[in-house]
Amino acid sequence: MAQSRREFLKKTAALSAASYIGMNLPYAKAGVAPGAEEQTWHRGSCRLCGTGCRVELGVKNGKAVALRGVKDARTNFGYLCMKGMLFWKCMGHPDRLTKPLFREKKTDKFKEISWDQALDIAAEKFADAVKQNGSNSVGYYGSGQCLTEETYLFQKVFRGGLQTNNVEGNPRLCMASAVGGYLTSFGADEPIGGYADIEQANCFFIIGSNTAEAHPVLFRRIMRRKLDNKDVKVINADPRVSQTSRIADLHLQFDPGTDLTLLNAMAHVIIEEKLYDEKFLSDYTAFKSGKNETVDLEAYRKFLADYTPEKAAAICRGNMTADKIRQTARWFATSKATLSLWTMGINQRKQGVWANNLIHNLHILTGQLLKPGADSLSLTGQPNACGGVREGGGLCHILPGHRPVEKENLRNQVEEAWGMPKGRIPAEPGYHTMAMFTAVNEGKIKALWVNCTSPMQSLPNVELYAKGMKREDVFIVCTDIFPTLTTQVVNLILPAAFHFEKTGVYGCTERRSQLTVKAVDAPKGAMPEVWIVREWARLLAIKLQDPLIAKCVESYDGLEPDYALPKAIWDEYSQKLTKGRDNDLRGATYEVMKQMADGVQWPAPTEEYALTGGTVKKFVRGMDPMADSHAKDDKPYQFYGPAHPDGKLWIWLREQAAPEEVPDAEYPFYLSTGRIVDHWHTSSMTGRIPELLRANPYAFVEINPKDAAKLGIIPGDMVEVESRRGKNMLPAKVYEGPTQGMVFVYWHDQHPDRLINKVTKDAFDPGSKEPEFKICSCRIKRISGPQALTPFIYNG
Amino acid sequence: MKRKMIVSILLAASVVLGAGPGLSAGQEGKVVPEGHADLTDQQMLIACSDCHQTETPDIYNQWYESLHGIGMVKCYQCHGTFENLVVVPEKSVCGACHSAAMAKCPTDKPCGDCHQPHTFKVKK
Amino acid sequence: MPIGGIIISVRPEKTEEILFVLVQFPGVEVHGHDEQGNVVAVIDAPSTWVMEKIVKKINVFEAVLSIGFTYLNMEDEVDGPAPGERIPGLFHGVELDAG
Repeated sequence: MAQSRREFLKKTAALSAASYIGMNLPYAKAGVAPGAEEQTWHRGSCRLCGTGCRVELGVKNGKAVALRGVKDARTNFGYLCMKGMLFWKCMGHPDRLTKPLFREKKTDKFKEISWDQALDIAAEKFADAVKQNGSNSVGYYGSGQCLTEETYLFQKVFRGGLQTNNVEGNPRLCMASAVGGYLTSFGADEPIGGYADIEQANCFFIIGSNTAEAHPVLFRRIMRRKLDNKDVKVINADPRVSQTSRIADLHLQFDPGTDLTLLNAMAHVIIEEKLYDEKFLSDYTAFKSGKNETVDLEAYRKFLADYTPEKAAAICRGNMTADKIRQTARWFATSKATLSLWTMGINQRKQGVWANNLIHNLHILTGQLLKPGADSLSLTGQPNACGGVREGGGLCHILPGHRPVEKENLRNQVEEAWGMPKGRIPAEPGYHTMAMFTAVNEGKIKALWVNCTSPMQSLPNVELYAKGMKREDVFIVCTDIFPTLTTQVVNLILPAAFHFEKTGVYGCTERRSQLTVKAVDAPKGAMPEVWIVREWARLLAIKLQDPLIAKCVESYDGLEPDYALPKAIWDEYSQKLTKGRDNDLRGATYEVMKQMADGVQWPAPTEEYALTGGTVKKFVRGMDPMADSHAKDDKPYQFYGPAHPDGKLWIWLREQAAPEEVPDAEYPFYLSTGRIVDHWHTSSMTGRIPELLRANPYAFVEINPKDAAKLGIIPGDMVEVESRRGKNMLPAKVYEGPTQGMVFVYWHDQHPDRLINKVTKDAFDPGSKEPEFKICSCRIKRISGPQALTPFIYNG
Repeated sequence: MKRKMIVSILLAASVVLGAGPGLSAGQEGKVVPEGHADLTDQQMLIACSDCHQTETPDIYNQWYESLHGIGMVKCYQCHGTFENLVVVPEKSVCGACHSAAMAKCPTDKPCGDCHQPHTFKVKK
Repeated sequence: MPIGGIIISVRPEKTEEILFVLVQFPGVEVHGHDEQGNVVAVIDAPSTWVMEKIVKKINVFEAVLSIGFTYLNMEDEVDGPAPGERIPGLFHGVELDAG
């Protein structure tokens, strides 16, 4: 076979050359055959954003060699972005962690140890912490990139075994405000519609999202929709002009944090010009004042009286005018179907939940919901923030199946499913992320498990929390595939299997659960997390002499970890814990998901229904089985969400409120941060792929040309960005991106000089507890002309 | 060292193909790249498009205004980077995203025969 | 074991001469030529370094006007670097040591 492959390649090479000069070679037909008989393709999901693109990994001789999109997948229709196309190259990278590494003290060097020793140490340290300081002294900090089976099992052992709700994860940093928004506005978490609305929308309202870079494949669908239908309008509202703005008919640029005013002013116009949907309001809507008192449309009208487009334009500044606000409101309200999309610009805010509410308000007010093409759609950043963490019980205040911890009857349901006595799960929510790392700082947490994430780079005001993580009296274990800035401060590193080296489910933005089955072996020594947790829990049970810890993993005894074990975990979670909940996944079994090109959108109570793809629109009778089974009347929409007992959508009266920190004489600029198309999060993966690294080898600070001119900064100059918390030194990119008075920095860079979370602020939304990464104040100054820089990927 | 920089090879072959007297005329729309200049480690950390914006403005502009340019499909997604630079991407590279097109397009010729490189418009 | 596809532009009247020369190079195969002096050839070399040497040697001939690569396959090199191998100048991670 090898010989014929080389012959094939030679012909391909010759054909390629011949095609340039229009020469015909005799073997033209043979030359373009795929020639990939030896290669097998394995279906799974991409792991580098929340879109949920379906891909096929090409495997040859047991190694990943190629990747392609799945054209029948309703997420990506075969398309891939650059990260997605290349992420598999991480698998064979020489930096992969393959041996458990331990050090007693964080100032010691790591020593290689065996898995037996490693698990014993991890169990010993957690058991010691519980014995000496109680259950509240241990914690789990996970990730929206873990498989659902992993998040679920970790939280089961922590809540049911160790009896603590200190279960958190990085989704707190990215979509907690969206959760808060959906629960308070619609009564149920997660979007009503999904991507299918893109092809039916006539107006896109993209606010606080650089979709083109953060969700390129979804952006392609929006672009396609607009190109195919000239009357489709795209409105992009963002303090920064981004790649996304390229397809916009209208770009609204405003000062960071003033978007609450913009959204209220849009509502003002909609009411003033009677563009609202009166029937929708009377059938399905309640109005709520800030204190959760029920008010009426008249009160809402009065509340909005002050948000005239003229006043709003003056507050928002940037390029805003009263006319633009009116135009936006009219397009939004009168288009056949309006689809709003947002991400971190809305969520990572002190007023994150409120900002979410105000977007939902516009949809409720105009009835731009539930019909084809209309939705209020929060895009998720990570591949499994929705599926694993929001649904699987990965945050301190929610148990699996969207169950709030503080509800006793719901805790009891979980205890019963786990075969535990009532009262086993503590009644109090645990530490949310910022509280957890504050507790680490204060020495209250004695043992912390960090899984698949790098808080040493991703927490806001990170140097403050680094102090805690470096404490010698805080034992930290980290499961990961590469060294990260976080593995620098841990005692124990456990090498984990990567995506496609293990089996499990990811649930993306649109309530869609998709299975990835193991396709290649992990490097020798790296293990799937579900195996790690099971073995660790057994040892914990012995050390704490608590058979109920062993009970957490008892039903998984003897199962091989590559497929049978995750399948058993998924079966338990989906069959026992989503039954009757709004994320009913009982129909989405491994067998069903394996048959689907993409996956299943919940609610999907039966396999038969799941095989149709599941629920495209929630709450619509005839489309959502739960809207039928939970119907209270004859109306076509049924809001059965657990958080709204009145079964209505709520319009919230929320005032403009300032960010925690606004520019002043000392720190006159706004600082905002964000992603760039070539890199994922902390770049521990994408930074190791040469194509991606070179495309953006270091972070820049983007400065508006007018500000740059005032400060004498030209492109490439080294610029210091300093806040009250810390400073960076970065090369300048001068362009009409950020609005005047604002600078923008990418957050993927690991280099200590360019790690922007040293500068960001750790204020957080009082409701969602999500930090305000997107806004703080800073000052900038030119340090020097261009300097030769070196990319930096921490490489333990 | 398995990965060998190929930049130097391309430099050795550093010629303007399109301008070669031996080339057949009438290859309209075929933008034939030059052999690549040698780059230092630092220069390799500049995005392809940064230089090509001025070095090959026609190609850059075609790409920038194309669906790939708007949709952020950058140079390296098709052409690779220095270690694996391919002037004309193999069909399988296109096929990674365009599997639907793979199913309906002719199988006996390269994509570039019908789809103008960098604008991706179908040739008339 | 990279495989490269090249177009060699030669003075049309010297095409035959160059074709004769080319077949002398180990690993070089000529796949076609035309009247304008375009020669389509494939180089199958043990490494890109050797490939580079071959190209340089071909380029020495006076009748050769230009050589252009149109294709390069390094599939046995695309798995990523071999275990333990570093790409010089790319990653400047610090060594793992005290904290």
